[in-house]
Amino acid sequence: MTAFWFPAWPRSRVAILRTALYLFVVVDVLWATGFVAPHGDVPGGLYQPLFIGRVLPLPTPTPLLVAGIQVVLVVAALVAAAGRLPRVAGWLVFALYLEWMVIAFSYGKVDHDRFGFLVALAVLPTVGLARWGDDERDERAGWALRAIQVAVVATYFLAAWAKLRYGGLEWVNGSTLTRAIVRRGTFLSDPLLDVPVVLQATQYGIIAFELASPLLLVPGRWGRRMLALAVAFHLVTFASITIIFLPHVMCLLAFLPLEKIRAVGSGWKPPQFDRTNDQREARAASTMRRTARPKAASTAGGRPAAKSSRNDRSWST
Amino acid sequence: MTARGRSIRAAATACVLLTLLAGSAWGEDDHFPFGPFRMFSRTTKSTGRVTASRIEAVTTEGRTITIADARLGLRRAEVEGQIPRFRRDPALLRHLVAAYERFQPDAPELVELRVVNDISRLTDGRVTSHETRVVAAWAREGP
Repeated sequence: MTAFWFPAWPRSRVAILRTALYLFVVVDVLWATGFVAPHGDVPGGLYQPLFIGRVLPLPTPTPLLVAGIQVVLVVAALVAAAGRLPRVAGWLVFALYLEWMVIAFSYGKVDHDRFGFLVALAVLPTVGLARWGDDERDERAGWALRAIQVAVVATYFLAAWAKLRYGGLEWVNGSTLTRAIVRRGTFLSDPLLDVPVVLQATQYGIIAFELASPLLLVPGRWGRRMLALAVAFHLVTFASITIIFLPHVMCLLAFLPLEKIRAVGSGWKPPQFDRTNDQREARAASTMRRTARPKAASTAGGRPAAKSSRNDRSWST
Repeated sequence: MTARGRSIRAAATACVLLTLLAGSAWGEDDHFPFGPFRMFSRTTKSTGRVTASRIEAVTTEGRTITIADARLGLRRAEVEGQIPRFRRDPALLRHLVAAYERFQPDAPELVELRVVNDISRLTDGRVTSHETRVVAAWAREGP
């Protein structure tokens, strides 16, 4: 249990993930979740605060409040993305992004793609200083990454539960996807309205995928396959009904050995997780001939990867 | 990591997971971020109906227009989420009118506004007919 929740993973993995997620906060606030900022101009009579907004209690959004939060949030996210003030900037981003979400979802519709991202924003500040290229293994980094991974898996797995809770068996046997396509179909998905059996089979496939999501936590091949399936699932969903759970998709990065991206310092080398290398390294490991590692994996950014171990080569170690 | 650091993290993990499980079992959207992950959890019977709401309005010039939800600073699902309130008290639609005027200061004034449902009926999973129903209506008072 301790080994699962507190793996010693490289700090550089957190550092790179942190840069990606904090930069995404900027993209999200200014563009991807663009419906939030206009809420400041929506009459307060349409504001129906969520439980958390009533308990705290958070103020009814105004143009000034929304603009103020937007500016401070973007600045704090940029500071955090640069790796500066990881705790202060990180906590500020978490608090303001949570308030941003309350403003987003207090007008009659709650989205369900934020849990993993909010967990990520909550745990990233706890790692403290972590720099690109710092391959020191650290249980704090491991716990943060594991927490994000579990939040992602929980989102998929509990989404299957919610479908059964709200839709029952009718969710898989009824016209669930027909409804989605009638409401938000694209030229790619509209023709499927004429073949309901395909849509119904897809409904079974979605539930199966969500129930199988804990495989994401399995190291090695199965974890990688599940990750590829998850990415494919989101792309097909976008092509079919123009919905993509971007904050959640960003959290899938927590399953990758991001430290293999060595853009820092001298020259950039592509990440080394192609199949050929995996197979060669597996052979090398099995014969315990550590000196027989492929050259590409033994050097990174011009420096020897002295702290690499076999675990580094898995996408979800 | 210190033993204290590990204990705090373990306790926080347990609290969040338990709250999340409770939210999924008994919670609702209102309990964000611990509510159930109910994206696309609603279903439709193969022989049933699919409803999509729309906002219709009449201008002072007598023209009937359809107002895209984005022109009110809202998403369609947000308007749909408030339909139970609008049904109970159609006077609340005045807020939609105010939003329209705020986001379109130069547009002609509205004298009527209504939320309508476009209903597609399904038979064995195929769309067989369409109809429209008014769910709530507002009209400007006085001359």
